[in-house]
Amino acid sequence: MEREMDAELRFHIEAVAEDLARSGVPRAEALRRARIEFGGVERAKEECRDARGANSIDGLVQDLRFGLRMLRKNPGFTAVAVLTLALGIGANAAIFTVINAVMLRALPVEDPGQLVTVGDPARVHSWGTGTPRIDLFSYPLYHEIRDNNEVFSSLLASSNLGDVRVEMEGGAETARGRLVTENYFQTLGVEALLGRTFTIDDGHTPASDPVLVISYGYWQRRFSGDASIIGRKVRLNNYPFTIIGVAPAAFFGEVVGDRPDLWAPMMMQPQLMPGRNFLESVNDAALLLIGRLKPDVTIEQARTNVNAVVRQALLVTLNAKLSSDDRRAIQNMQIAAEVTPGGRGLSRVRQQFSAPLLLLMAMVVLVLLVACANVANLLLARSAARQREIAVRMAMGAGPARIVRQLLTESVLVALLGGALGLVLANWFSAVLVRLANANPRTGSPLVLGLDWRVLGFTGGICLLAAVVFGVAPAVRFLHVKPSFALKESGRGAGSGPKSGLRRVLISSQIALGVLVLMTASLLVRSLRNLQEVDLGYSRDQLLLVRVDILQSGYKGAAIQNITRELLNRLSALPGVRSATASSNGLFSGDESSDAILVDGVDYSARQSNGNVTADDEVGPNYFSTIGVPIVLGREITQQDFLTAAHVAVVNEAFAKFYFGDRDPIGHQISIQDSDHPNQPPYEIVGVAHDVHDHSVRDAVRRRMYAPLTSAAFDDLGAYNFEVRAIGNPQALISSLRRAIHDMNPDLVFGDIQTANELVSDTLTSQALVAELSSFFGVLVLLLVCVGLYGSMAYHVATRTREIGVRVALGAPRKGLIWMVTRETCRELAIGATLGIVSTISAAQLFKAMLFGLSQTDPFSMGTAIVALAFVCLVAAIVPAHRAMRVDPITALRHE
Amino acid sequence: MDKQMELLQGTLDMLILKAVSLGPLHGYGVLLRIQQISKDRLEIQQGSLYPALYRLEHQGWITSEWGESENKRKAKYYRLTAAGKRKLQTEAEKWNRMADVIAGILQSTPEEV
Repeated sequence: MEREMDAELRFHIEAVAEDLARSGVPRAEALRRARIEFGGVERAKEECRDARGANSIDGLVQDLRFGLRMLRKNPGFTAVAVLTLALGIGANAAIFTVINAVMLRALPVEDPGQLVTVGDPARVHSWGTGTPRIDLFSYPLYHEIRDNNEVFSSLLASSNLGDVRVEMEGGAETARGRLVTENYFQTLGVEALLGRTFTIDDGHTPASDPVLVISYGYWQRRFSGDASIIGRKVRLNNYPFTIIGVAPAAFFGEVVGDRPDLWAPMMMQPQLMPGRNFLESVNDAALLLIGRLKPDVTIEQARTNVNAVVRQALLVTLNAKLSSDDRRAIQNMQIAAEVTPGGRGLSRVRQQFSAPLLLLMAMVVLVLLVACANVANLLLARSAARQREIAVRMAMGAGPARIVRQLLTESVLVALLGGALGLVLANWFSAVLVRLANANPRTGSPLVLGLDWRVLGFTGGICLLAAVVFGVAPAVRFLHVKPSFALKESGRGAGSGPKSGLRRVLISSQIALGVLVLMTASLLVRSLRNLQEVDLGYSRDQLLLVRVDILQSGYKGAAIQNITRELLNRLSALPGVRSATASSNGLFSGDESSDAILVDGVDYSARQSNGNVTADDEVGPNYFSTIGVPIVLGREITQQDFLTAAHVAVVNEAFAKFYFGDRDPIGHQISIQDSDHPNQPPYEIVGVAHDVHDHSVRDAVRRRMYAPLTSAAFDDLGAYNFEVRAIGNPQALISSLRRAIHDMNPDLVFGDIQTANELVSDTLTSQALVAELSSFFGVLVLLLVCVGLYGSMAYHVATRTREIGVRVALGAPRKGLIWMVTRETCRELAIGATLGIVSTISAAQLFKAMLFGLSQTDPFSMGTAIVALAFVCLVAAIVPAHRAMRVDPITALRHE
Repeated sequence: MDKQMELLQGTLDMLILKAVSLGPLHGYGVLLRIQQISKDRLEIQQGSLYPALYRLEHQGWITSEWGESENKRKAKYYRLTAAGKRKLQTEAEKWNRMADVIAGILQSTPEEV
């Protein structure tokens, strides 16, 4: 096409020349005149291309080719720009990948849009015992909803099974399991990859079908993808099961952030958890429900219908199974079960990490902005060098739109290269992020990450956006260049006029963004430290905890008390153990209990409605001295109380203050309101313990009563936390504790032995994650600001070499010259830092919930951010300034 | 020779269409034809002729093919398409109507207003 156009125009000019020659003009002269008469050939060609409409494609190819050539010609610029952007874009893509996996992506099941969750979708690992509830459901209540609702074509229930002991040829191990109803796979629309999934006929009656479906990951990991696995017998928690199917590779279940190794039918629950049967009890709530809506049913209708069914079930159908207390409680309860869109599945991780992830996302956007400012600065610096080139092109007939397009094409090219590299970084970086967030690293990544159209679209989008952000300003600036002026000027004038104004704005905004990120990071890190070092009220060093499930180990009734006592004796006798005790709820375990009580001599009329409820715990002998909780009044619960199952209680200060104010609570009586055990003698208060943080670092201490473990005051769950105070290094004690428990009875089911410190840290995972990552981003921003500032300063000084040379030649003192060069940077630092501090303080409103023990105006955080940036600015400014000082005046004056 | 007039804005396309309606022409031929018909009274910028040709071709009113010129050289010839013929007709009518109206206005006397 181009060649045709050339030929056509050449023909024209030659034809004109021939005509002229025929009228007597000499040949060479004729050709010259024909050319003059024609005017600008290149401009005409350009207009022809435009007229043909071919410019959009041809031009793009041309622009791209030219852009690539420019990038190849300036490898230094290209490398710095692409790397800078790759870091910025990579961080964004990584955080977005995790956000996508946790918050946005639909479950890999059939038509996820039709799914609806019933209950609190964050309570995926919870068990609740007590008055029937509607954030979690008991099996009988699920049964009622499943059979009586009019809105779901199918309704499944699932529940946490936790770690199960799997025995097969080649030894025993633990695997993660989930209990699901027999319609689980059908409701979700998931077919088995191998064998079959559960059918409605499986597990119709309790204990009827000991069958298992295993996950693809487990099949690959444990059975190397062996197809003959179907029909294989294994023992699960000592009960024989048969593997009937393997789930498809993409299916990880209905819980985002969990990847079970196996699914077992709900009807096998009593066999999998010996000693407990949740299939009959209305008081044991552990199920979350997911329903598939019938066609044309809205979620509103579903909510109304489900709650009507729940109300009917609790008030009428199941009412006879309830205790009188529960019946009363239900009368007063507002029945409004959560019914929410379920396409994205259930998740505790989502609730825990949504806010931190969004905060991190905001931070990486700032990082990207700093990166963009860097590249814009580089482009500006380069623009002086390109002024002549652009001027030549304009003189040759390129229109302003054409020039801007060419420059934008180059920007987009840089951004895309950065984006491609960024995706590679993101892949690695998001995996690191999930590993950091995972409190339980031994079980492998619980989250399925990976690229999908959302991540790719997001990355592509930010690439283009970045290109526009850093590309437009420098590009538009070229348009003000007058060709004649630029051609005459030999690139000497840079650093004057509006262009350096833009440069200064870029630098101050970079500093402002840097302060914003650094100060935020500092606030978060210091909050984390405050949380970690908060005074719990006892010493958490050298304290070890282990949960032993005695009931599940096959013990019943008095045998539970006996083995608890025996275990306590053995643990206390171990060398290296100062003392040992036990309690129902443990510390930072997530287990909590509370009961309704009546305290004698207390006027209830003046109290708020929940005034008769208190948190409680059942504790072993010497609990308070072992944990290190000071007794402020009276005495603690002793070995004697424990052995005689005495009805005595220790209350905490919050309890004493709430019920007694300044009066002495010792000797008063507490009656537990439990209609199942109506004639229990009351508990006499024998001591007051100091308030301690036992389950949450952040929350205020609840009022609490402690009673002897043996007094069977409350519902006995038969699983106790044993607390051991070590004399020396607690880690050294772990293996001997494990051996002691195993020697007691090899069948005892017990969890990991952890230090109190580890347990506390586990509750701070999301806080630790934002603190760690934000400091990483803080360092990244510092690095970017440093590189950007250095490049900009170095260039700025280079353009003033001549001026500096003159000044040096005239005898200007060096100090004054250095000041002259760095003065500007100081002003930008002052402006940027002020802006940054102000914006951090206002932005901190958004993440106030993550701050602890300091305010958003924390002077130390402010100081850290300012000092760090000032240092970086100084380094970036001083080095080029010094280099300029060393310039020989003669060379400087000869410079261009 | 009369003084040359500059072309009125937007009329070049119509003139090109008219020129090639009389028979296929190469670019230079179009130029010569218009100058010849106008008796050299119109001045056409040679540089703007080709963009106009490309534009008309892109719009489908003329087509082009390579042929041999009078002096046995390869040249690109333009001819009117059916759509171009209709376009020329409507453009010419529009032009004539416009010319009448303008002429009427310019000839009006104070009594008529």
